[in-house]
Amino acid sequence: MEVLKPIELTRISELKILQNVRLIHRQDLNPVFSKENLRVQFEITGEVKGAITCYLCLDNEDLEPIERNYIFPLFVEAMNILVGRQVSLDDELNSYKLSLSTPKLSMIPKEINTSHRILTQKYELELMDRSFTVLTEYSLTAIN
Amino acid sequence: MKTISELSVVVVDDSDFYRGIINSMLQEIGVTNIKEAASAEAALIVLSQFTPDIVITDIVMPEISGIELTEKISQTYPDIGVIVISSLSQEHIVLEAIGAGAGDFIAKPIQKQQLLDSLEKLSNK
Repeated sequence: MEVLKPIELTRISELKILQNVRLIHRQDLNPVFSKENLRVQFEITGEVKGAITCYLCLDNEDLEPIERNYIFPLFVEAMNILVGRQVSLDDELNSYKLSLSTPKLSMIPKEINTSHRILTQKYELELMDRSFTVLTEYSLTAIN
Repeated sequence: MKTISELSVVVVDDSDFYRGIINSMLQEIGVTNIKEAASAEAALIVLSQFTPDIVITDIVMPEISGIELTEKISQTYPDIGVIVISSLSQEHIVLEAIGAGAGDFIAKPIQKQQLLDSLEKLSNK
């Protein structure tokens, strides 16, 4: 299998978002299992309705409270920027008038199995010499 | 015309984290007179007590959006320049911001040079 060289998508302060795979479909996805996840959801309104959900997979990451207080808001802002860029740069989505909601945060202490999902993207988030898996999941419907 | 170091700026963003980033960038480029507001409502209270040269506002905020805030500022304080920032940079959003009275639009993530160029652009008006 061809190994794709990670592409640096964006950088905020010392955080880098790397995209390993442009779009992961169910058939070529390596399942990602994570039992402790920070979930950030952006609702989409306008000519497209639905939500974009981003997960920061924290399994096996022993984060101190002070690290969480730094990483979590950084992650939320990084996802805001990532989602905004994807929507703005995607040929199809860019043709619709739409708005993003403010991010809604929650901890999801349950397993995410991406092998059952259709439109999921996977990223690596590098911060403070650590690497975290990030998943974004699109659930959008165009309104006629 | 004011120099960059003479400018007074109000930064409006509901994200403490991103307000901090903009505040740090402003200080690095020489702006020292900076106030922050965590919502459009809070910004309007700040503006009733202090008239800055420039307001930098995010679009997506709870209750009153940055676009509505820009409209209110344009109507009530026409001498204040407004820079709108957003993670979405679709044409309709940029046009909406400019139509509301924004003097400039910057897509996130903001680069220091972009911010400096934008401040210079508005301070020259």
